[in-house]
Amino acid sequence: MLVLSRRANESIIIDDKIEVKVLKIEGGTVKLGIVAPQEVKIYRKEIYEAVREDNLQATSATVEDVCGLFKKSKCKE
Amino acid sequence: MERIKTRLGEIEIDERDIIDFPEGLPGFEYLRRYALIQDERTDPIKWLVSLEDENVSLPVIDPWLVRVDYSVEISPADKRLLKLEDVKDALVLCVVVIPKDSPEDATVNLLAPVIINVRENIGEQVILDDPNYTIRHRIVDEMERSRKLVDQDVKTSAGTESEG
Repeated sequence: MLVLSRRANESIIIDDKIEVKVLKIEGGTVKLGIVAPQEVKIYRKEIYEAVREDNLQATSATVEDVCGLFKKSKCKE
Repeated sequence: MERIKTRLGEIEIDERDIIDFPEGLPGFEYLRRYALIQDERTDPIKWLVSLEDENVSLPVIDPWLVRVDYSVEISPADKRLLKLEDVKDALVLCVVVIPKDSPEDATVNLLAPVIINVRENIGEQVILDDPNYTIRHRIVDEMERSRKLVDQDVKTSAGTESEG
């Protein structure tokens, strides 16, 4: 991992087209400003991880589980 | 035609029904080819079934059945990936998680809907930038909320009619 030190109002440029700027450092929080082309996707990592976790859990479902959800009589056939 | 094994049993897939997920799905980044399967036993829940790993089948639902006022804004980046020119070609589905011992606590992921461009058969699970939605909305609560909203609507329009 590349490690760089930056102060407030300093930036880094990634691949000539993505700028990440440190806007504010306060307490334990760093506020970042990001300028990137529209096609670049930017997520908070913990949200992506949570979606991942949710998908992994979803895929353990069986037809019987779904039947339990809506209590449809069709399931008993 | 392709015969594939899934958790729902063996199914036949027409080449034209294969949906490509160029970036996979979070958790299954390495799986690219899926099909959307309707199973009348589980209606209105459909299944997003991996054609490459028989253990991967995600139950999905039309989010508007759960939350009547759901809204999705697809970002330019996602539109590009989906080759989506007309939003009418976008099929929106949300992943459902059903706890084994308490199906009544089933949740739906309204923050990260699966969007399928039905014209091009390209899919992606997008992550919305919308504070109204989370990864786990309890379905029972959402349906109750939706019922109340619809009731209110009916009452309001009935009121207007009697006044007019």
